[in-house]
Amino acid sequence: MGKYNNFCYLVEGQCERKIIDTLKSNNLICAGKIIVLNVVQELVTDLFLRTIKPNTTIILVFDTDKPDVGILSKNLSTLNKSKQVKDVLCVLQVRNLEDELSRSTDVSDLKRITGSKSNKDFKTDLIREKNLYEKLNKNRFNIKTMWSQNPPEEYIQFKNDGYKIKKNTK
Amino acid sequence: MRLKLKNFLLFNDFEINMSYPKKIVGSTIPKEHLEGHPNFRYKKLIILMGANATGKTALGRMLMGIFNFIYKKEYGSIIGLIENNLIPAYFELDFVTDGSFLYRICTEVSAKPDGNYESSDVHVTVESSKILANDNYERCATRIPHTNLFANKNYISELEKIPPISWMFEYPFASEGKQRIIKPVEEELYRRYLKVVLNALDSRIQDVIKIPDAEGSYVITKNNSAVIIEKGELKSPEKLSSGTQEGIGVANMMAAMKMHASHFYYCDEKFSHIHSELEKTFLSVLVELLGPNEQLFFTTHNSDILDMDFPTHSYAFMRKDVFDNEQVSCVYASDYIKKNDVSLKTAVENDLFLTTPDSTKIFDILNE
Repeated sequence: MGKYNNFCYLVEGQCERKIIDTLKSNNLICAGKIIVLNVVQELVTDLFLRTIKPNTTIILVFDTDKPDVGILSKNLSTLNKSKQVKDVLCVLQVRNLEDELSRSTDVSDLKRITGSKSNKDFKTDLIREKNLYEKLNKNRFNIKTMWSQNPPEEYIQFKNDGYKIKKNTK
Repeated sequence: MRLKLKNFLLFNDFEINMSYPKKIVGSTIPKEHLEGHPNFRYKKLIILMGANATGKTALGRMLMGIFNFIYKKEYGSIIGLIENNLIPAYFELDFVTDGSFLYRICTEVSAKPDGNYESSDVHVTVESSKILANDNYERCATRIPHTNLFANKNYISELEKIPPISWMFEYPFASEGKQRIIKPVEEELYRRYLKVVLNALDSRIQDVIKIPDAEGSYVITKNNSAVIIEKGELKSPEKLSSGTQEGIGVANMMAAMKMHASHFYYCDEKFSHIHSELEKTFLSVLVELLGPNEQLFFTTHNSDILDMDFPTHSYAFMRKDVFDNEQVSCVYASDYIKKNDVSLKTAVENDLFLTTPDSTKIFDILNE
């Protein structure tokens, strides 16, 4: 992850955007532009490909709780063919962001991180949280555990590159 | 040195700090401190970047409003900048004028639901602290006494404690064709600057000739035609390219800095029609023209400026927090980049400072 490398995250939703914004601002993962696009359900099109800088590494961050991987496979093929793209990394959330956060912190009930009243409020509170990094740390957040699980069978063809985006971790 | 804003324009709980912690070895901006006070470090150059509508121009308008308020002692200069008249508006500015005292002006304008503000709604305190030989800004600021904003009924008498201040703002669109700085004794210098700047932008421009006995009036000769600046206003602007028209404002700024006409300069996106290489060169010259105890704010969208050899602390970014009700804040590159292992331009391209606009909204137009 050198001095002049460009990265672009394609993330599932606003919660992933918030988490990645937080982690990159605190130097835990490599910095990169973030685009909200669910690569398991939506196709990557020329509309997007035309706007990315040459030699960009694309990092796909997606949940693995949907069995159909057809669109994801097609997107990988499209991205790998693009002359703008240097590399494509897959960061698999097993099975979703909430599960990843549960494993990476010492809380089983994620509402404790944000102080949310209900599970329904958790995502909204997470997005609005001003001191998310402090709150994650308060609950013993460990970046090494994040995005490190083997995926379910349907996603076994996609290698989890989570470790490649983390800084100072092997 | 530091500005706090609450409920002015798009700023709410906004703060920008213009000091920096330690001397930079090998900096291309020498003597970046108050003259005679090497520890009193202030950013002589602040390159302000950020997406559209994040407050780069608004910050300049706010500062100009405050300076006009101090200078003219008319509260109208700041009332028009209040965002919501149902709640109080507040600003606090730490600044240095003559190099020997640090001043702090605190101003609160009371809520006025009917919008009919009166002088009794404006509460001001002005306090100061003498800058000692080894002071830095932070140490000196701790000696500024705290006083009750509402104790003094007459804001004008408070403002009279502040010695004269001088400033210059150049905005996009506003100043084309208007040269605002000309004084008869300096017209020759201005003419020379105008000629150099315009010729750099358009090599067909041959000369700039002063029209005798006509204040602020010049002839710009270009091949076999001529363009007139009459009483500071460019006639037939269509005869010059957009970039060349912008050059008039650039020349204004450069000439003012050469004459040290002000201590504070705000150059707001004067280069939107000017080639990137020329913008970089003009900025380098502007920094060279900066004198002791002077400061330049320079706003731009040009990411090539990020590759220039300025201290990291010179770069600041305005951002709107999409997760927090579009709250505007200022972030500093030096808070994120401590070592030389990261290119500032790459950091911005990778959105390290969370300042990249959400360009995907533009895609929505195809669904309309």
